[in-house]
Amino acid sequence: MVDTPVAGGPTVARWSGELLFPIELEEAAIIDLTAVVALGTWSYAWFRARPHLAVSGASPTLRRQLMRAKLPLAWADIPGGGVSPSERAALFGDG
Amino acid sequence: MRILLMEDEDAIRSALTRGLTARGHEVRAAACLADARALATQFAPEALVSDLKLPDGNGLDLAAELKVPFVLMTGYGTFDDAVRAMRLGCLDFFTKPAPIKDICRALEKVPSRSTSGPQVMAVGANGMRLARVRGSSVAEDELRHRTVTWSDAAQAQQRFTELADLLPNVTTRQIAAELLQTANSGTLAVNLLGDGWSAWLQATVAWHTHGDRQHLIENLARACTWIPNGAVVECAHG
Repeated sequence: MVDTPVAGGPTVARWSGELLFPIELEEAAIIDLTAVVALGTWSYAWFRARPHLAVSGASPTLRRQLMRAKLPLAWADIPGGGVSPSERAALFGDG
Repeated sequence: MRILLMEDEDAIRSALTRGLTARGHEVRAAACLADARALATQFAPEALVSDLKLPDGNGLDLAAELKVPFVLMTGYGTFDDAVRAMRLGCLDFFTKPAPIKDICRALEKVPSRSTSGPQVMAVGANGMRLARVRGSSVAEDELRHRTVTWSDAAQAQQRFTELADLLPNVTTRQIAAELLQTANSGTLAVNLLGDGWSAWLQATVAWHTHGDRQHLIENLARACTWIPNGAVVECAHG
């Protein structure tokens, strides 16, 4: 599902569920991983083909996984800015 | 330790029985495969010491059936025999006559009864089965296991859905999905125990080309054993 914010800001694709096998992934300026339960390594090539893609909302577990994989992601948050609770948790090892 | 000894040469069988008994083991001895099978059902051995070539069969066949740690002795072993023995989890492989002290040293590798956690042993080259050594007997009746085989990516994903009831949580589902995608074709055996989950992957895998998968599995699983063709993965619930 791809959303275009009313204010004309960046498009957001909200992925969800257990993405353990290859599927066609929605593209947008920002990928919201809030609802993603698990993400398989098959997706890494997709991310590496889109360096510095903005992603947001990943659970601490998923964020640690993606960081360990050294994927070229730009961690961002959808409107609001600052350090999100999930980012804080990932940085300080909560959860 | 309860040891089942299978040796058709009377003098060797007698000497090994005395030697192992003198070292504190409880020994039952058989001269052929049929007698050994009968003894095993009553005796529940914790380990097997066996000749490779028996009048009525091969010691490796019994080892595969019993699914206990084993030591092989042979005067006629080939390299292929040694490889098969290794894949079945053989503790050591001796050329006869094998000194009793060497056999005992190999048997020291058998995990003690106090070992906590499941012990996974992959058995056979086809129709993989996993067994858990609990205390002094093989608790096979506690196992829930399934083996799936696939020959392309679409089949691999289909097999994943067939394993759903053996994959209790996200972590195990993620590990299984990664294992099913490590090769275009292969066999995956999944075993669900009371307090854990284990998988044996039989597939030709070039792990250097699957580095992301290997790292993810290592991060998720409680224990991994990488072997030339496949992997054994152990994971606890939760």
